[in-house]
Amino acid sequence: MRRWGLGRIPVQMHADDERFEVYLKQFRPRQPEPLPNERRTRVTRPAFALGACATTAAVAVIAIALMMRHGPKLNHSADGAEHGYVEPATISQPLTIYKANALLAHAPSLKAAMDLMAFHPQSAQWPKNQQSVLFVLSKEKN
Amino acid sequence: MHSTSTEIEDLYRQHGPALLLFAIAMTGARSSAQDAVQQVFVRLLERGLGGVVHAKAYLYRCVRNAVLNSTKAHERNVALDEDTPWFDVLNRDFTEELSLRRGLRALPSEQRQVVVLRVWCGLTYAETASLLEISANTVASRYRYALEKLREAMGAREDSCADARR
Repeated sequence: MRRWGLGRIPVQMHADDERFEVYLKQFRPRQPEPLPNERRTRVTRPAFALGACATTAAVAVIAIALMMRHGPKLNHSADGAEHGYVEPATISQPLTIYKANALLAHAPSLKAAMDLMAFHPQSAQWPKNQQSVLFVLSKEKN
Repeated sequence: MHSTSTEIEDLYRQHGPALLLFAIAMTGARSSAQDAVQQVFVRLLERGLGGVVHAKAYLYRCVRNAVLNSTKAHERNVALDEDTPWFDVLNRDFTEELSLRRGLRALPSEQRQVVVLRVWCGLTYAETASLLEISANTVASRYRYALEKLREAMGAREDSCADARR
């Protein structure tokens, strides 16, 4: 029997308890999950955000430079047009915001620009046995 | 004292398992216990140990406070987690671990905490008393009662005690 002198009341420990204690100590508590590495991610986060911002800025600058370079070429492609005015016949490709802006900027009047935007020449050629749905529907109404 | 993250990670490796077991003994659930322990160490990684002299005692106090704060916010005396093992399985004997876990679960929370702190966390009576804010005599009596009940609960395993001594 072992005695633990704790304060005024002695605590007795049986031999069985001691043996049982030894037996219990054989068990090892399980390992906890690894620590989330908060501090490292906090340090790397601003660097990553800074890099992302720099990349975005660089891409934006390149895009603007390309637009500035190609913009006048597009306007000049409209043959004989002054100030980049685009003839109706030249709008065979889909209308984009960029083209719409160019039309609005350089067309002689707003009406002319709207007309150019509205009336696109139908470039798609349908095979003999196929028809456009719009064409069929418009025919039915008539 | 400025503590590096390596020092804190070393403390986690050294005391993490026992701290987790102590938190489980308090909360009853491994997940919330894990949260409490990690919360303490993440805070330490951010702020450092400062002027702490007795790191071990400090860690146990922090974990206890974290568990108490979380259980204040949630529900006290939650049902104990039955499925997750608390200990590594010895010699693939799952029944032994289960028997011990059931025995611990059957103990009142105060006795369970004392037995965990004494046996697996290696705290002295005085340290346990200081941590739990009770007298050393209370710790000793709780410990004795806990061992007695645990031995009864694990009755069939008493033969293993003799094996452990050999």
